[in-house]
Amino acid sequence: MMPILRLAFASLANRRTTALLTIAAISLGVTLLLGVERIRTEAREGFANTVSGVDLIVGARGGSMQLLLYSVFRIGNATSEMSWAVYEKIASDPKVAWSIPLALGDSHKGFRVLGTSEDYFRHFRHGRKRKLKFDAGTAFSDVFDAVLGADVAAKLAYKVGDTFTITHGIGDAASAEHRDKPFRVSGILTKTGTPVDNTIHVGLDGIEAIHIDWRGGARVPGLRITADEVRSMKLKPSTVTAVLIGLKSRRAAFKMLRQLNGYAREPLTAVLPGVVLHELWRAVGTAERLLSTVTFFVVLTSLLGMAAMLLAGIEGRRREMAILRSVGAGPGHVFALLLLEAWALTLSGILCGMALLYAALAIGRPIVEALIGMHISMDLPGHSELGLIGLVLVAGLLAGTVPGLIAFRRSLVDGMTVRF
Amino acid sequence: MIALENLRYRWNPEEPVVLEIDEFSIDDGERVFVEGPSGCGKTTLLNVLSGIAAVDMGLVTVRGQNLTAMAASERDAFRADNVGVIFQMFNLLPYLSMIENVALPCRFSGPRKQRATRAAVSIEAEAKRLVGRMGLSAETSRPVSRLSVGQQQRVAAARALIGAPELVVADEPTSALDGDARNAFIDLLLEECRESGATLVFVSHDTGLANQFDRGVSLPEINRAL
Repeated sequence: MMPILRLAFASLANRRTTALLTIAAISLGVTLLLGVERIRTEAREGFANTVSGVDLIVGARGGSMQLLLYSVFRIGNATSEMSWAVYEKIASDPKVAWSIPLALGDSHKGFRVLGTSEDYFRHFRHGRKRKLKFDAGTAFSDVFDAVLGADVAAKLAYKVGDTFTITHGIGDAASAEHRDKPFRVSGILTKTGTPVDNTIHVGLDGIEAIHIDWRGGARVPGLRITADEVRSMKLKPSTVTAVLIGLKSRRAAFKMLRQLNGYAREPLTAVLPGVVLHELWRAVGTAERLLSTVTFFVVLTSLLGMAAMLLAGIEGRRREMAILRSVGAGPGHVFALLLLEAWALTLSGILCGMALLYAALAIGRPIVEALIGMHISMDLPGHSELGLIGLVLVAGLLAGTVPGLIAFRRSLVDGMTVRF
Repeated sequence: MIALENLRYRWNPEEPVVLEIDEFSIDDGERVFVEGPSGCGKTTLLNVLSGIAAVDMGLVTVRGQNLTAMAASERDAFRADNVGVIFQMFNLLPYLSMIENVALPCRFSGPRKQRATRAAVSIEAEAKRLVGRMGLSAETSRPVSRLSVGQQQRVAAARALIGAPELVVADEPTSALDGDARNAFIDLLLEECRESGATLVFVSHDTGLANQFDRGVSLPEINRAL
């Protein structure tokens, strides 16, 4: 087989323009395939890690998907709230390491306002256990301090020290402005690629303060408490919308889950975020699977292009085949020659494609990270990627079989003499 | 010895027989000139002798080996080991160097590789020696496609001779050469065949060449299919 291998390389080098174009087509397909696979994996992982390190999410009784959507993705509303007393009870459970209360229901220019505590910035993790970082400013130091997600600050062009007012309600249901109690931007978070980027964070006391003279979604007539007056008051929330819980030991998660779902004093719903996130991904991940299917067809197209190139070459190479037959090559050698050429082209395409992928990753990674907060790894190909590469190699060999068989038959008929 | 007995050949079963030879033999080391006009079956005869074409009927023996009893792959191996071929033109693979072209048969045949390395220290050395014997400079690095036709034919002759095959078949190898180059080429080929002891079957329509050979044969006279 060695002479055939040498001949395959020499013959391809002789037709280097078409060979290089074919390799370019295959390598672009491979880059696309592996790139999409990598981004897909990262997207899935990033999605699964929208909240990482949170063991349980608890809210008032309702659907688990709904709970996940409003507590993590800021989509939809809670139908009811849980009482502060219950929150305190859960937070003081010996199995609980930390807890983050969340109070939702207000907005500002379409961005959700999330009332929470300092613990949010201390314990919340996203991606691979990454902490929230501040691009500018600090966490809350006053009742009316707000910390903006990266996208909020960018889209509204707010800087630390700017002030704004919060609207009561969300979206279409948004009603009056809490005009009398403006908030000041105390900090801006670094881009995370999660819903945190689209959230305005304020203290629970801030949420309480703007609603202190409100009842049932409307201002209490005649009651007017100014911002300065409110600062001196003891602000204790009466409800929270949801709680993120970190446990001391993850092994306690199922026990805690049962305990909370069967809570006697108030109807609660508790979920393991990973499980519900996985369910949600199954529902929204169709596009991602579709994308990888499309890229696989791109690779197949480039391999068909290679088959066409080899096929078109056969006619012009009948003389070459006849010479090979005259020096003792059998039709099997001719078949092997074509197959090895296909294999060499495919392999070169894969290697160039991978080089291209890593070059693109090296250049594009910081840009993607800054733009959408997605962290793409530069790791060596994993199992699924190696599997794809293997699949491309097999497909390349199969694509080479057709021209190989045709050359086999042709050289059988032609022998040493080319008849036209 | 090469012997043909009651040979019948046709391209495929629907077509008429193109070669029909009752009896024809060539001695070992004999250099035979086979003459005849185009279309009289000269190329077919060479295809039969080199094991490319499978005959329908009859006996083809080359050096005691019965080609008619062999499978196609065995005939390919037989050709690789025992037959050197020179075509009319376009003998060389354009993407290989001159020396690589000459060495090609040794890549497909163990026995020829062995004989070549017995004659010289390496296949390349033997290829260079043969190229030199054919009056070419082995050092030339020019692509083979840039060689003149006469030079290309001499490279082809060196390739047919490498590894000392039993039989060299040449299909009108001089038809693209002018008078002086033609005679020089034939002299070199005859000399090298004598040197290696190879049997030579040289076919051409040019009857004027016959007197340089041990024997001249007119194919129309022995081919009864015509």
